[in-house]
Amino acid sequence: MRVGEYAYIAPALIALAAVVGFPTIWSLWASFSRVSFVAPGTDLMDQRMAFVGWQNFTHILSDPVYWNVAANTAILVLATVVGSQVLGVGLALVLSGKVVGRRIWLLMLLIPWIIPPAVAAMVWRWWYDPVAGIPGLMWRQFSRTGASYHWLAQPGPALAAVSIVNVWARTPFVVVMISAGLQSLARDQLEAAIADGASRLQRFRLVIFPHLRYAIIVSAALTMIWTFRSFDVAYVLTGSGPISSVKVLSHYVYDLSFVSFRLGESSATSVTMIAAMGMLVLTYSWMLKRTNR
Amino acid sequence: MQINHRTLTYISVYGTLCLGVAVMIFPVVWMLISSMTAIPLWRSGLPSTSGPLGFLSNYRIVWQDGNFSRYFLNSIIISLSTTLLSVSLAAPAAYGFTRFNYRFGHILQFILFVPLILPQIFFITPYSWVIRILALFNTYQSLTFAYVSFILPFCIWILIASFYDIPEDLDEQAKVDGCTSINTFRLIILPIGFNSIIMVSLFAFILSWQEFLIPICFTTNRQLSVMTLAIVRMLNTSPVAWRQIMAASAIAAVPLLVLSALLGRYVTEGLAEGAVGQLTRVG
Repeated sequence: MRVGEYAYIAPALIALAAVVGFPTIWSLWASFSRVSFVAPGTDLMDQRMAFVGWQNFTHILSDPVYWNVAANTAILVLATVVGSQVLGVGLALVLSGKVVGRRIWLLMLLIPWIIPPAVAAMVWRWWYDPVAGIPGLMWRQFSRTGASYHWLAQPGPALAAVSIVNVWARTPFVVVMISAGLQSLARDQLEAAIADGASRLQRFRLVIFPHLRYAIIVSAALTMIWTFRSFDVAYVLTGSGPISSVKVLSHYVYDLSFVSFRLGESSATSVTMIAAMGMLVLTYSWMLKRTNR
Repeated sequence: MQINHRTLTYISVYGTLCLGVAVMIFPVVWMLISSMTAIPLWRSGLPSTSGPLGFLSNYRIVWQDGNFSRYFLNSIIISLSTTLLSVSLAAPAAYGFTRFNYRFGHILQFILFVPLILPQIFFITPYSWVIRILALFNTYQSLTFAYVSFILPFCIWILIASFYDIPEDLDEQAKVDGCTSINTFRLIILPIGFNSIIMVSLFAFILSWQEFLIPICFTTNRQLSVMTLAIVRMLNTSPVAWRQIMAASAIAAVPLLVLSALLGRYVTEGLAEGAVGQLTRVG
């Protein structure tokens, strides 16, 4: 019955081959080629992928815009991971005690996860708007010149603004992961610590935190991956106008593919993104292995 | 008044929770308030007009004049078809992965991670290229296919974790009773795994509804826009009609919230089991 067994995964596998196999091969090939899009009405025979070697990569990596975008992405990832971990662990710890209506609190905390990120970003976009948003209004009231300050147009404040929204969006996920980790903490270990006279801080440092290390590393890794590949929030907050102050790598690749139609270079950029992410994932696996689990 | 240690703990715990929840739900609350009232009170978009049910005027404008009835329908069509397709492919696949020892099973399961980890844009560029060649640009099918390609691996992943927990003795008993594997799947796994399947369907639907990058790359025809795309596109008007945007956002967000509230227990229970469980096994 071997054939019959494979029948269960065959449709999914075919879909996966189309999803993973084909784009990977295409993108890898395209990153070493000059590619053009099919324009409607074009003769298909004109489509050519001309092999150009490392040209795309050298072109990308020597472009200061690329490094600016990469730095933006790195800062954003770092801020999002740190922020969401701190808030997530804190909220999970609070929830782990004797709380009335725990499930309802949890469900309400999950709301940023359920709402489409692009839609949530629109609310934040209004708030961040220098003319129409409340902080902008207050700024104008209290500043001497009465001029407005366009947060989202300056790289520094814009990065902070996007980070805040990202942290808001990712904290629920961390709360869930850490809560699950906390549930597996044996009560007796904690009770033994209390019986030994450990203070709250000591209990956290010596019993709870080591147990949580695994959940923290995994949720941090997943948050990092999500932020790295995220497009919606940054695009809505800073990018949909003609000038975008904070481009992230996903947005940059999107521009190369769908605005400038430089598909070879966009594929090359994607490949560099994957290389960077691969290194980060390896780091996390190494950290996981060190956790004796 | 004596504030003892217990009161302090009580205040700090529930105070933190209130603060946390307030921050998390504030965008939704803001959407609802600003789209239905004149708050905020200064000029920031069309004010609500008075009259019977005047507080719903922004919704009426957005639904009819703004064509959001069409966009809502598009979102539903695409999300439903994606969910149906993904779950019906994922359930047998998860059954297969947990019950049979495929030759490259572990490698295949690892490959399942790839669309979830790598940037979407990496896959979308080749798709667009193919879709334009196949003249499938601006179609429901191309959108659904692209959605499924990202959501299917996720569904398989979660269902593997859930089906893994279903004891194999049940399979053995079924076989003794004369069940073939397909019947085991139909009569044993599906009913027991029903909770997980509902949970995964909810996830698939939510993820599809949230999707933004795929529509923006695959459709230029306005009639085919999904809700997320249409809402973001509202930024292009000048002046920006913020209250209408909020009304449209509420229309986009509330169905997901209602669904999650109704099927909420599947979310909180199944998620911790599925994600953490699977990760614990992998790591």
